[in-house]
Amino acid sequence: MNSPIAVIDTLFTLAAFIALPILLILKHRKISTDIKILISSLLLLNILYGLCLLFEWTGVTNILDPYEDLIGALIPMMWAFIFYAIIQNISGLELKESEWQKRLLEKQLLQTQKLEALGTLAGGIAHDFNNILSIIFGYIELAQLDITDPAQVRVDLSEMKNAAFRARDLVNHILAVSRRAEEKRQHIRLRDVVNEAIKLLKSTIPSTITVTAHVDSEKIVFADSSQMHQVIMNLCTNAYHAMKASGGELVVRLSDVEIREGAVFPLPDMKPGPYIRLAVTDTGHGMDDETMAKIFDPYFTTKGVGEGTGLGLSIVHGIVTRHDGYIHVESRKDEGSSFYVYFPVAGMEPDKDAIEPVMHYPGANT
Amino acid sequence: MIHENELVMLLLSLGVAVFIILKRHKFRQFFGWKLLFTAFLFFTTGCICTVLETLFFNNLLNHLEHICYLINALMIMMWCFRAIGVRGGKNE
Repeated sequence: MNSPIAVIDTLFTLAAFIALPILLILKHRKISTDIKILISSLLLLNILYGLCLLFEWTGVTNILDPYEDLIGALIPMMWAFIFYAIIQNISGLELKESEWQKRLLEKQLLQTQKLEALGTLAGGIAHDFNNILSIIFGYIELAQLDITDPAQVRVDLSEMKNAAFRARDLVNHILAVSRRAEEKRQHIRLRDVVNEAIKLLKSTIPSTITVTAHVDSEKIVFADSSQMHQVIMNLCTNAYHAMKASGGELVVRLSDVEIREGAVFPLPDMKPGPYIRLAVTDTGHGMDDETMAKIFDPYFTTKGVGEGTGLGLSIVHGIVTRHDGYIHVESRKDEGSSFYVYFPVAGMEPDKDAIEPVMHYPGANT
Repeated sequence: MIHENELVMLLLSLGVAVFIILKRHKFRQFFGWKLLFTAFLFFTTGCICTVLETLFFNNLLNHLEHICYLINALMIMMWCFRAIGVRGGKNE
């Protein structure tokens, strides 16, 4: 018997014996259960191996002797499992963190887009209100001059009333937009949202650009109407920017499509089923392949400084994806672009409490 | 004479060591990785001593082997103590 080695082996076994219960009661935020189980197994093997060595040196009848080789081989294997589990654990944590960062970025993008939209809206509202107020003031002055002619005063008052109605419609529109600030998915008729967006576009886009709409779909999507509005507005605004210098035609189509099993899908990862397709086509400057590859990247823009944030299409992509939809683009340099958005059909009847589109005030001058 | 089982232990350990070296940048993010890695290194050193003791310095390498195993176990124990919150680790 070699006593120093026996002492060492005893301590070795004892250390593993002490560590095992500590590990079992351990709750550490960075040590997952699988790692705990594997290290516990390693400690158990260490205890058994220590006993093997101890029996071997002390000369006690070794009941573990037939298993010593096996235990010895299992220890490095257990180390391999532990380190593999650690790698998996770290990768999982990294994945979670990157997912969290992605969500945060998406939120920030949405917020920036909302602020941008708010800025545009505020500018437009100020301009519209100014026009309406000018009309009202003008007719007040006319009414003061025509005070002796009651018939003419009636006409002036009628015009004032019309202008006030327009102001009321404008306020209603603003209220509707603010009411839709929080995401609320409902069964909505996409046609209504498209019509509303087109009305707004027609009053804001210059006359050098012709806006044509072919809204043929009656079907329902389960979506947030505000976000649908945002998708249409962003796509159309991009189309408008592409034709700003030269003018052209902006065509918005809404149609029902059925993607059948075995058919050639517009997009490779698309699932078969009924869809509503929104197509926004312009005759603007188009894009080359290099630009097309980047258009959905956040902050990518071909517009000049101060003209665009490069977030519009990124937001559109995010919204479409979150609604289980698909988006793809076809474009040729100097020949224009077409954006196709597919939303899955969710039924035929809209929710009763679905937010109704706001009637746009007539003849708004922006 | 070199025993087969000892050689298997050594080869497996060296394989794991290569794996750790290749993935070292990942392990650095793990709690108390230095302690665990050092524990494993002592275990591998113990395996090397086990194989070499049959070739030369029999007595010395044999003692060294057992000491290495002991240090390996002590380091795992220290890692457990650290994890439980004695130093650095935070219990949930």
